[in-house]
Amino acid sequence: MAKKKLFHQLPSCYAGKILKIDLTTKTTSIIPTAKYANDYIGGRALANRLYWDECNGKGVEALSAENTLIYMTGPLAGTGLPYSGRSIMTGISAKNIPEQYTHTSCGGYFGSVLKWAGYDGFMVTGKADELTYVLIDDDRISFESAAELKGCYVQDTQEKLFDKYGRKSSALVIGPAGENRCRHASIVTHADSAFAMPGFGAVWGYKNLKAVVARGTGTIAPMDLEKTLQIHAWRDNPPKGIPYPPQPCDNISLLGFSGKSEPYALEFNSCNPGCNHICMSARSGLTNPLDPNGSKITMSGKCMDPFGSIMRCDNNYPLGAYVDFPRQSEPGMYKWQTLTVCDEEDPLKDEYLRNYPGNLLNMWGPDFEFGKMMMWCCNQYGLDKWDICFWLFTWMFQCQLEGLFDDGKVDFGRPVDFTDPQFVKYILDCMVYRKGPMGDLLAEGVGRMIRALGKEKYGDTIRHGIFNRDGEERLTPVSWETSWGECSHWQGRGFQGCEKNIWVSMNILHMIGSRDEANGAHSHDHYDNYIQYRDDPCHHPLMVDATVYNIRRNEMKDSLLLCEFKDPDPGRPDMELEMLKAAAGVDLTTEELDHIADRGKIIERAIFMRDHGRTRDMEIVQVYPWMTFPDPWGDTVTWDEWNDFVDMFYQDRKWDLETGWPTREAWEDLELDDIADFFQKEGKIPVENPNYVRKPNPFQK
Amino acid sequence: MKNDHIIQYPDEYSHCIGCASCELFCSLIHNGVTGPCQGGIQLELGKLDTLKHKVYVCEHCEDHPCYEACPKKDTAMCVDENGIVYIVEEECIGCGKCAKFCKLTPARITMDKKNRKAHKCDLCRTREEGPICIQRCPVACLGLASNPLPYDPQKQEV
Repeated sequence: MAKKKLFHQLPSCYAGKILKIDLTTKTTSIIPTAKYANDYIGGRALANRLYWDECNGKGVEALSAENTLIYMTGPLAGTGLPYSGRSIMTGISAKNIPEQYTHTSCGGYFGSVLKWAGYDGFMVTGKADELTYVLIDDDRISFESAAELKGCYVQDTQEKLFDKYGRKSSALVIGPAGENRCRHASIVTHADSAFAMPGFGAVWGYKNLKAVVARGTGTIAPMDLEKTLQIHAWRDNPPKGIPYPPQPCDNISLLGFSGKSEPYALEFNSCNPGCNHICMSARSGLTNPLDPNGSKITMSGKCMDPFGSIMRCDNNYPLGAYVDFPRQSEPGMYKWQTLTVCDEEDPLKDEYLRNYPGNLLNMWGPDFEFGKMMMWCCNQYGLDKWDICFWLFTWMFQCQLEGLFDDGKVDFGRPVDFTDPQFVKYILDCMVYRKGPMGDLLAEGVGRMIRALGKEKYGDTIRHGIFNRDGEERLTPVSWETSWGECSHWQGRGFQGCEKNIWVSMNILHMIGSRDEANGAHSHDHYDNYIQYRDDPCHHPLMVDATVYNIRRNEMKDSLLLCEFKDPDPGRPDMELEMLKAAAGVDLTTEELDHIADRGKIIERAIFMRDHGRTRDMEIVQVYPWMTFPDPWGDTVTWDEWNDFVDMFYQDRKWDLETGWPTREAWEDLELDDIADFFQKEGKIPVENPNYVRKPNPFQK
Repeated sequence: MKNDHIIQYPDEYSHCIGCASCELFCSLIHNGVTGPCQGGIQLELGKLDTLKHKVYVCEHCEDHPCYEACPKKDTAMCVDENGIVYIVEEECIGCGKCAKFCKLTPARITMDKKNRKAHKCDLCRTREEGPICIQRCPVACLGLASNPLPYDPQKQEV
């Protein structure tokens, strides 16, 4: 496909500049957005190319001055298009194992405000000699002492900055977790929008960067106003009042839960000026668990509320109660994650629509107070909720269940007690402030802590008492770690009991990435395809097509940027194109957009190869062990089955089967001849090996 | 009704979620752009721990001191037959006197200092569907002062 010139001049949806910030020298410079926007649009695709050009992460540690973090918005941010206020950050992760280049996305107002200040993104490198915040006040950039913000909670930090710069300013900040370089530390903006998973908060902490504040007086304009308004009309939900204070309710449709203790229900919440439609839930009128005076608070819902329950959509199961839920479906629904429209003619229809009871994990007793404490501490300390809820406390609970702490060799400083909300605060205090006998280990993150304690015992011990849908016990380890030091996410085991065609596809995403890649579209496909591959997904080319489709959607979600909970929209498959047209005035075909998605994605692979020596051997073992444990249907994959699927996927992508490196043709197809030339010099343009033989299963005893 | 204006309904009726739809749509349909100084309606985000947000908008006062203070009265700042005080932006010189003389706090006139223009609510007076902020508020927390609440919040059953 010939390279298409998207813009003759940069459209008004871009601010036009990317700011380079060096904390060591306290200097800044400008990269014109136009240099990259034409080929990479924005967001993650653009950040990948920027990183390739401007940085080299080979041998660079996450917690170092050399680690450069890139923040980028996309063309939609600030235009007012629905669900469009998101932004991304890339750089070397502090949490993932091993440390490597990765990405994360975030909602909030900051992206729009930064654009109004005149910048589409910024990159930050170096290390300040004292705790600092960077103020971007239109064209005036200054490095300010953050001494008075030292140790402040996330929200207190922002409130102090609001006091100083007004409530039309916006800030990305770290809390005490970041300052103390906890590898689960997040970078947060507004109430609870966070760059969380890769531990970039710890990187900012190392760099002595407490906050980046933006304040602007400029404007952003969608190129096609009429279409912008039209798209809003497509996505409209009827207005609905939400009274305050909310009334207590007996339940919130959560299985097995009764939440009478406090008012909670504000069904709407907005995470940014683009997400100005029905979004997630918030809990209001709650008693602040960290305030002895019992002040009232409102907590953002996003995907995890005080109960740790997952968002509303179609999987309202409270964390701590149910795991591995095989399926819950409604007739005629396009399943958000489980990908099918149920067909009346389908012989498996009844089976498909049948609900099976999930496994009751029953993690904590007074789940409201426990969950509330967990969430509010994460909010205020600046911690990644996902890993705290889904991994740390789940692991701790399962270890306790299997008696792994009974010998007293792991001493948290007080007994593990899941009935006491103060226990969660104690553990998170230890992690964030490096207190108690386990403080430093907890701060290293769950994956590294388990390795230090001894993975064989504290990670791989089998947890009993989980059953498949036929009531037979099935076995999973006490730690739900899967690839690259991440906790299982839509990988068929753990909290998401999706079926094989989902987790096979998702595991490819995880495998070729460097983090939990279920930050995006999860897995979607059409029913017509699904019925063809559901019996043997690892050997069907349509399963490869579905995987590629989801990779592309994920890339575009993070490049335009859009909300992962709203896009792709099965009801409007043209939504990405329409949004781009409204914002940037360019009329692309699906193939052209996918081409840009492929270009962004393959540059990520180029970074992995150049900086981290990525090969097939490295990545294929990341996800395989987890898939050998049975899913709720009792399904697993064999080594050959998994390799067969990886072969098909690599061949589709024109990657070498032996090394996993893209062929020259793959680079040139995406007009990346310069990168092909680079790898030619590095000896990393693969030559087909006729004698290639698949390696034996390294896990075979 | 003369001197009608946009109001934010009480919390007991509906809680503003701070989505900024009102600001964004106002500035988009009036100026074709988004930006903090572009709309005629102002959202002030509340404290992060309570998320109680406030909306500020012109009340089209009967004595309209903004109009009286405008050096280009009846050219840049006008009052129509319904008492709606509006700005003809191409005529506005951005002197800021209207904002200075607004008797409400904060002033209900937004100053775009960069482009030397003032912006204020005109109740979308030329728009058939009425004020866009009301139309696009996803939680129905905006309405006209002349319209009673759709129901009595004290009797609201959840």
